Amino acid sequence: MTPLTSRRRWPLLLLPVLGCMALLILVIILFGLGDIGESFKRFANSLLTSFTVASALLAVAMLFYADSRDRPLSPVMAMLAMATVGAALTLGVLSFRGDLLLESNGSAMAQILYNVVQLLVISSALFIALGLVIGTAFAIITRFDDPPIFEEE
Amino acid sequence: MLAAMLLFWLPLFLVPIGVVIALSRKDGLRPIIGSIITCISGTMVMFSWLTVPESDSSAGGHLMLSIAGPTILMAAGCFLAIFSGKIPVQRLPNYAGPVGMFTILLGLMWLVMMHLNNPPIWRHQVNPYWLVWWPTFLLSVFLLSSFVIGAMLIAGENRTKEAGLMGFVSLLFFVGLLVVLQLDGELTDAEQMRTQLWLAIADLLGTTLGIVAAVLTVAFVVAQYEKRLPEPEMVAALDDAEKEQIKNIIEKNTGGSGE
Repeated sequence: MTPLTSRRRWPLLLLPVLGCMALLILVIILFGLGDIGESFKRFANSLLTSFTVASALLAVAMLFYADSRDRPLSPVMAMLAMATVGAALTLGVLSFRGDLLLESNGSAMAQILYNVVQLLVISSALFIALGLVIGTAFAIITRFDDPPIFEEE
Repeated sequence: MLAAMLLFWLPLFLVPIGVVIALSRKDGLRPIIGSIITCISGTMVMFSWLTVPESDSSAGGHLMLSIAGPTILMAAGCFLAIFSGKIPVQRLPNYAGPVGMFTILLGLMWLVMMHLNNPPIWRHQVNPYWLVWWPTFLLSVFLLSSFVIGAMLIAGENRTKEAGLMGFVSLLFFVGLLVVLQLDGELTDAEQMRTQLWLAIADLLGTTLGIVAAVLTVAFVVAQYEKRLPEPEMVAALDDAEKEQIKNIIEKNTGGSGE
């Protein structure tokens, strides 16, 4: 067996993922896409919202990181600045170039609130899926005996 | 507006804050306070469709409540299946394994039945967020299980059998995705799901990139801060008493006279 640190085994991580991507492309070719006009708006809104919310949460996490140092303010302020940049960018684009990111919502504020709830829905789907996959993987691993470390065993 | 702020948005803001507080310390009151904040806020978000039905955002809370049942079943199933396996601590009886697997299947079947027959209804129509959540969930399981297969093959020794089984799980979700794209439900149609699948891909890609960008930013900020810290002061050399104490500790742990 090739050792864990070997670079030759890293493509194994990509192979199943590439296989899944190929299957998805096949599905899209076979069944069609449906209406995809809104997909760029959805992508950009998700990107900006998740960056802003994750930066704000990490700013809170930085408060606890500061507990283990001499309570520095610079990491907290830096992350708050990043969250502010994300929020300002979202508000700016929605207010001045509404047609670029505005979906079926009447105003920039309505779109921002919709984006936050959308993030809640997407992240819940992602985390529940992650829990299910990791849980199933460990359930499968603990079903079988551990493989012998030495061939003589 | 004020009611929605107090009964939906404030609790929604407090859920992740509670999680961060709970995870920030292992001892003391912080974990308990954090968990209490998270539980109360989470409950308020889930019941916001009753407390602030006039708010459009409460559809998100309604969805969370609708998927709570299958999620709890799947989590309980995973717990039973993992802790009845060959692990050194807290092993459950052998029959807990099949029961756990059955419970996971039951949770999944509940979700499939929700798609086919009984989707979450909000304001007399299908909850719009259900149409986002369901394809995103199926797609996420399909993609994440492929990552896990790769990780099993890389990090594990002789784990091809387990990777094969995980591949079967991945395939199962792929078939589920095909069914969703082909079969009309009672209140949803396949064409709608095809559009939602494409939007789910855009959503997942955007969300993942946003989170990765924020994490990279925090890593950069912390690295910059740590780099600017002054070098630690030189420590005085060990005296004879300290050397003797270290010698005793090493001898005690490496002498081989014990078990």
